[in-house]
Amino acid sequence: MSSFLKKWIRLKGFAAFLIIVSAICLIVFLAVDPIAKMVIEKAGTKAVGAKVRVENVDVGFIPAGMRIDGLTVANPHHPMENAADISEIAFFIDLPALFGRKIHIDEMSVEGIRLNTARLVSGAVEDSASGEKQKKPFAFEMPGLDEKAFKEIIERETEKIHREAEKLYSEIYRQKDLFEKKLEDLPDRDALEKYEKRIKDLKKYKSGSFSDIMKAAKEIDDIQKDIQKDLDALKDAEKDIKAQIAEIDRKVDDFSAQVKKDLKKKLEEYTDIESAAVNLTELLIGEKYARWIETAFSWYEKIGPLLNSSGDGVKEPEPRKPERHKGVDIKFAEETPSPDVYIGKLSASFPVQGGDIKGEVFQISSDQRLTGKPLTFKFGGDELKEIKKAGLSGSLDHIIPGESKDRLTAGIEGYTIKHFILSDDETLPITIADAASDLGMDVSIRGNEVNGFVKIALKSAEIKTGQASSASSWRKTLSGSLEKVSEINIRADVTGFLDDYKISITSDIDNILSGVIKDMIREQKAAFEKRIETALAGQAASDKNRIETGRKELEGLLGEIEKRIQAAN
Amino acid sequence: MIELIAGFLKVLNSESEPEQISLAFCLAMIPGFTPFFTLHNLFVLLAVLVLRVNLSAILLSFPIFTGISYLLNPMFHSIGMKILTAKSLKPLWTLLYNVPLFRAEKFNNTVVMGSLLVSILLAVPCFFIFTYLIRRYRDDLAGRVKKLKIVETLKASRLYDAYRKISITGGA
Repeated sequence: MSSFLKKWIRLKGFAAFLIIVSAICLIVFLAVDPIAKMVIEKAGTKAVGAKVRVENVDVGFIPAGMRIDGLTVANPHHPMENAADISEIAFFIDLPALFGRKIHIDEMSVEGIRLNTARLVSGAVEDSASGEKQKKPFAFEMPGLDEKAFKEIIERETEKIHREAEKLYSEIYRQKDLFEKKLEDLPDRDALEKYEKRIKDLKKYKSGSFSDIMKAAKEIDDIQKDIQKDLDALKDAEKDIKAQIAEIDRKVDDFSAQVKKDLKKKLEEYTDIESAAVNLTELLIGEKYARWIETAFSWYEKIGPLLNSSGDGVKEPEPRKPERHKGVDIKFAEETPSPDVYIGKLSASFPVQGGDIKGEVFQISSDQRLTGKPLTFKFGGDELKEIKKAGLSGSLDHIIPGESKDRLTAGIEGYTIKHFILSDDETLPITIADAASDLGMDVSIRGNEVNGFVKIALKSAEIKTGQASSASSWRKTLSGSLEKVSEINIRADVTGFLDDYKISITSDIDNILSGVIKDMIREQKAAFEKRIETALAGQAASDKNRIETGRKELEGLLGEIEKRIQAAN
Repeated sequence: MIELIAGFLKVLNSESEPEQISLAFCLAMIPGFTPFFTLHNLFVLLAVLVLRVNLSAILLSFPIFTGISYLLNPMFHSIGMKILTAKSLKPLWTLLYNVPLFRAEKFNNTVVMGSLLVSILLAVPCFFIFTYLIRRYRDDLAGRVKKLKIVETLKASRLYDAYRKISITGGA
């Protein structure tokens, strides 16, 4: 062998390479189960946004397949619950497709699916945005007539009263100043004494000549005219001041009436008797059902994009910033295009009392455009211990991107409910102790648009309402009326768009209790109104005193004018 | 135990020509720059074992190149993106994409493509540069380094003594 080759080639290296590669393969073969377990837990946690844990994984090579035992998927919105708790998942995988980085499974079985099971430890992950959602404080008060409304009304009306009082007060004192100035110009005691003196001075003409008598007569006439003129001026002033006082009184009365009128109108805005009664179902149970629907949609939004991946020469949608060392996978046209993930048939079972609800899901694919078939599913169960009949079916059609058509229909007959919490509100908790129920559901999502309903019929229901001993009389009345109800029909309608949907919940609770509710609302309103009036009277007391003082001062001036008139007369 | 470690060190340092050391650096650059668990690194492993290259140079330089790659990662992604989305190369990539081996290699990943391309292109000039630098070090600086206190302390150790004996006698 040439010296060059001797210098550069180490033939034993081939053997060393084979040994090392064999060792690596042996290690992978022996460690593939824990590696697969780690990969499933890591990828699952990232995809779901909550902890995904697996008890055991068994990977087979010939044929290639996997069995996963004890898979738990925590609920990202309620970390102390599992969204799903699955006993076993088993499947065989197409190995050639796997080398092409594709997961193709003809059949998969999923056994023992249980939903919403409790966890011992939280399933939240550190950087997850969701967490146990703060329960919105739900106080069953009359809609609109709460402390916030009370404060708002008091603040606004007090400000109005102060403003108006200030105006009136300024007007009173402006008039007072005017009349005081006028009073200075009006004839007073001195003027009247001057008249008396002039009359006394007439005596000098007593034994005088005819011309003196004429002079005296003219003087008397002049005095009379002057006195009359002064009297007229006094009377005019008296009339003016009386008119002003009357005007002020009228303004005060008008203002009080206006405040009462505005208050009544404002209270009407806050509380509409008709709509309050109709909204009772939403008040009692709306939040719980809204949360369920919200959870369902959030899971749908997680699944939706998995059905929509594109695959023909277009790069994957680039994330905001590629994860460090991960880069982006650019896809190119395939000779025989196939989805990255495909499961032909998935058989699943949900254990319930007295049996299983079983079903199948077909054509699970990460790119329905390539398979040309929508995902369909159908589940059912008959004559189970607590359910007479149950059925769930639907389809997710994302074959044409942007024109997805999804549908879910479900029906349950004769489901026995025991100790079901209808409302967990602290002020008015409602539990269905026992009832036979039927459920119907039909929801369709086209593109981004949602339309659907869920209806529940409860028969032979035994309703219990928890009650604090300090509960008010109207709550006791409401509880008593509810506990007499034995049949309830509830319906929730969902309309709108996935990112902006509206849930409207109605039931015949509203009709059954509408009379009770209306009376309660009237009673509440009257009490609220009285409370506001008392509060406003307190707030306005000082303004009232000021106006009263000003008015008295004007009356004082009037009194002075009347005295002068009397003296002149 | 010391003799065992010394023997291991001998193996590691057995190929000490400048070209063997710089080839080791160039080979270490490929798994250093590219994601470690990719198919091409098996070929690098084969090359490392079959070619007479300095193994300790590989072990020392691999972590250094890994650290450098962390800083250059965004650049690798940009280069990979440009190469993979170049219209003129699309037929080539489409052909390779339909070969399972290349799919398994993840060549269509921007970081894999960018880092592999850069490391292969740099390997050739780096080989000559490293060789030159090693020769210069040996000619000019090696003498001064040997006189450093830390080097003298190491040379006084039992481990170095055992290593020297094994190097001279070949382990006998």
